[in-house]
Amino acid sequence: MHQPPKWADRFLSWYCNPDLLEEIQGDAYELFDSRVSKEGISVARRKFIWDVIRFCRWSNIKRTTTQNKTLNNTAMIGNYFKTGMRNLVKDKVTSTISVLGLALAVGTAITSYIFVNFFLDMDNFHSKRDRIYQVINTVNAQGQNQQWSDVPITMEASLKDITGVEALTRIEYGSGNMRFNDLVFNEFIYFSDPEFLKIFDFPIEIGSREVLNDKSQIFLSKRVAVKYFGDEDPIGKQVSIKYDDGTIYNYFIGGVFEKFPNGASFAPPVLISIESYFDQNPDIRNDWSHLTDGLFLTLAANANITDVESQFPPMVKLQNDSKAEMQSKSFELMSMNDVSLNNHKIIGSVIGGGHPAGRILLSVIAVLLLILACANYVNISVSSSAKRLKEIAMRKVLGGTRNMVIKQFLIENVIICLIAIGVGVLISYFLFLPGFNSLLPIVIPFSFSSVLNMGLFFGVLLVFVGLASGLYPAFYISKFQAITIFRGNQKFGQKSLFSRILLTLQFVIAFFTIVTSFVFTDVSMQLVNADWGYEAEDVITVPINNNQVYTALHDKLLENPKVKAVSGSFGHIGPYNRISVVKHAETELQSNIYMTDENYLDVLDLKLLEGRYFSSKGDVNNAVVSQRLVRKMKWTEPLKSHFYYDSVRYEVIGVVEDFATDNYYHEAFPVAFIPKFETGFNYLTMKTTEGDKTAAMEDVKATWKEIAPDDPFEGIYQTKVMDDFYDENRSNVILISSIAGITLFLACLGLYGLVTFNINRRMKEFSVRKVLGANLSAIVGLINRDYVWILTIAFVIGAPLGVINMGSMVKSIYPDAPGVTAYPIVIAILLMVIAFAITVGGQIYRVSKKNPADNLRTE
Amino acid sequence: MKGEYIGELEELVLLTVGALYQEAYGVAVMEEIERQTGRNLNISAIHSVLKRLEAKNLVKSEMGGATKERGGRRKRIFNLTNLGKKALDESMQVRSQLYNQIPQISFNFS
Repeated sequence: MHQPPKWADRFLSWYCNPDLLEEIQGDAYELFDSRVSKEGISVARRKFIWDVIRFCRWSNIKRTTTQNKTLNNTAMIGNYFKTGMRNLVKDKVTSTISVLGLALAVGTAITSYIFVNFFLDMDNFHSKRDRIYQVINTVNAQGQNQQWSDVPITMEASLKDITGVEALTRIEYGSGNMRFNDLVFNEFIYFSDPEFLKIFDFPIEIGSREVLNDKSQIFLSKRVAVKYFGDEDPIGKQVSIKYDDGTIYNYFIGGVFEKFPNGASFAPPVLISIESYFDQNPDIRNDWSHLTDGLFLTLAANANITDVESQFPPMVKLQNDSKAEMQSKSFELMSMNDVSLNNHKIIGSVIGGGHPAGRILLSVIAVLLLILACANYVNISVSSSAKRLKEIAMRKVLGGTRNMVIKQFLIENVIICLIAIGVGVLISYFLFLPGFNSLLPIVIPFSFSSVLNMGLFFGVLLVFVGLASGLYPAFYISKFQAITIFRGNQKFGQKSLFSRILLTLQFVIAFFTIVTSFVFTDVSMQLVNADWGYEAEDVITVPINNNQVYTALHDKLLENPKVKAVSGSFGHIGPYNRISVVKHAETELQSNIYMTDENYLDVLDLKLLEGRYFSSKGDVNNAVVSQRLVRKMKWTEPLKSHFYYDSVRYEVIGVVEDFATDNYYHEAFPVAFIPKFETGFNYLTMKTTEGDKTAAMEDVKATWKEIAPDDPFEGIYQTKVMDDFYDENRSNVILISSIAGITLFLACLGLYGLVTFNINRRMKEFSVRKVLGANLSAIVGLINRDYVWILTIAFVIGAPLGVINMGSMVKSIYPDAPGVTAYPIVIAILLMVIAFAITVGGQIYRVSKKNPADNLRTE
Repeated sequence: MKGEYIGELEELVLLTVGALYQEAYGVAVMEEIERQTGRNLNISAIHSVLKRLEAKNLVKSEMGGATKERGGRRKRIFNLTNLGKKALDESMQVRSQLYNQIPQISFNFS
């Protein structure tokens, strides 16, 4: 039997009015058949096509009449909401799980968005933002263009007279020890022109924006003001600042800023007129070779950037003539917005929110999690719709079209998405963002740059999540024919290869991140518990900046009964690890050099392996080295060896065991101790009697105040020298673990969805098996078989990847770190098995409890 | 009135429908016309003429029984209505009336 061309036939049924289709198609077929016998197949086919085309007339074409559909719409939409809510409430476990899964991903997305938004929108409180420009210095460095924030300090004078330039300010960084009565701290200082306060809108609590015209008046940030004055009114109070060169200047407090807005990427802790800076350094004022840290200006509204920039070339020449080692190509004006966005490319940038890598990484993670969560949701909602087949069939029988069923499921989905977004906001607000902030040095508020921005974000989020998670289930479910459902032989859900691959992939990722996080945690724990190689307990370290202070403090402390021993050093283990080169024959080694007096070994309890420590002034040219130095120099008899440091020959008289000097981010350096007696120390280290370190610290502090009232006391416990490293490490561990936790949770959700799906599909089979005498364990085996495979495959791929990844990562982050042990992998397996058991266990319980008769009786 | 006026093709199809009594459907009408007059019409043209005639109440239609060669599809069978019969009668009458008025002389043209 010959058939007419399929496409033409299908085209006919597509355009033709269903009422006319039968007779038209019938006639076309009849003609085709008679032509086949009379004129041959190819002519018949050609003529059939021609007929189909000829039939395509206005009167035959299908036209929809919208009349019927719109009639009942509003009532039905109300009904959709009602059934949607009922379904949510009816199956609380499934609803909770699917909402929670989406909400977690949404929470991550919201948090990342706020994070990214925050950094892209920094410094927006400056109202003149659009007119503020920075002069950027493009420097030719070995044939490559570098953009520098630094420009000649005297350039300000040349720019002043250019038409279009309204106001100018330089920012010159400085620091000094600020003192008020007996409160002394080291402060970071901005030296700026008085216009600073007019260009930038840092909110001011007290004081006028004209104050800086008087160079003896200074501005403080709220934090600094509170530190010195507490609740007192600081205005008019006199403070003194001792600069690095030892000179002391007196200033009056002229104003205090409000607490700086969260989005401020730069803000002056102490703001002083640049005139005061020129008082200290009078030669610099007209020196084209001295670069200041930043030069900002506002342009008049009608000013032309190119016109202003055209005045720059002579200045470039002036700079290049006076500074041979740094040749500028040009100066350009860059708007504040551009500087913010490109600050990672600008060397020494004053403003901006840092490198975009973190933002990109975070966005990628958020989008990935969203996709995973949506995929899971699809699985779960398809599987849970098995219970609703009859409802769908009934709707269709009662006149519901496929479109209406699709609409119904999409509306239900929107309800779930709305709830998920609500929960996601809560998760982000109460959990993720505070957690995130606790790991970061800054505080990011839960806010958006504008209402429009927020509305757009949530709108896009809702549409994305709603469609990504809802479209497939809606189309899949609505496709069922009412008659097959009622007849009871609706084949529900083939074994979907796609969802299996998806699940396997998810578990690969889950295994990968879990193993990664545990390896990382493992290594970090080992580092935390690692022996430093010396006794840090009961040791106090005080940075010193001149000899008189050292001698006075040293003598005073020796009288203190709580102090067992005192040592001076230039460079100190932990806070100041000097790196220099030692030479022996042809070998040059980067090493930590500590110049210490004879007590250093005893104070820190370093373990001497061979020889002795230097004891008296006779040891001027003798040195003590660490094992690592001996190893790297390949000395066989270290005590008979020597090395050169700073062109001086030192004989090795002792070897100490290796110890930890620094964070573990780089390979530990070899160490050499070089004698230095009585003067030139920058650290004083003392050992207190056991358990007295807190009391001793108080004593030292008091003594310090008598001896050096103009300098801040910055003594620390030696046990704290690596706290920065440990804090950072802890933050990283928490971050990685959280991501691993979320991935695991989402993967389990996916598993749950698939297991439910398949158990629902095979419920009848299980019932028959149970009736025929299968015990529970057989059924458990049956259910688990597939998933155990998925898990095993995922483990075989994911875990080694995690170990390999972390192995190399750990090596690159902590070169000296101990090796990866087996226990992260064991824990990962354990965790997975537990998660798996919980996920699948509930479903198995359901199967075991269900009376098989209930399932078999339904037909 | 336009509604009562029937064109040449309409008249032909109407006649055929009457002639095929109880057997008149698209393909049959087309083949009958081709057999009787030699005019080769496309099936879609027949369909639209039939639809027009039905709209003018000259024919009525109903779905017939299924046949084998049409893949089990039914035919739409057309029948003359009284109005259709009357229209044919009128047009025949007009023709024969006019025909009878032709003077005999005109036949002697040879």
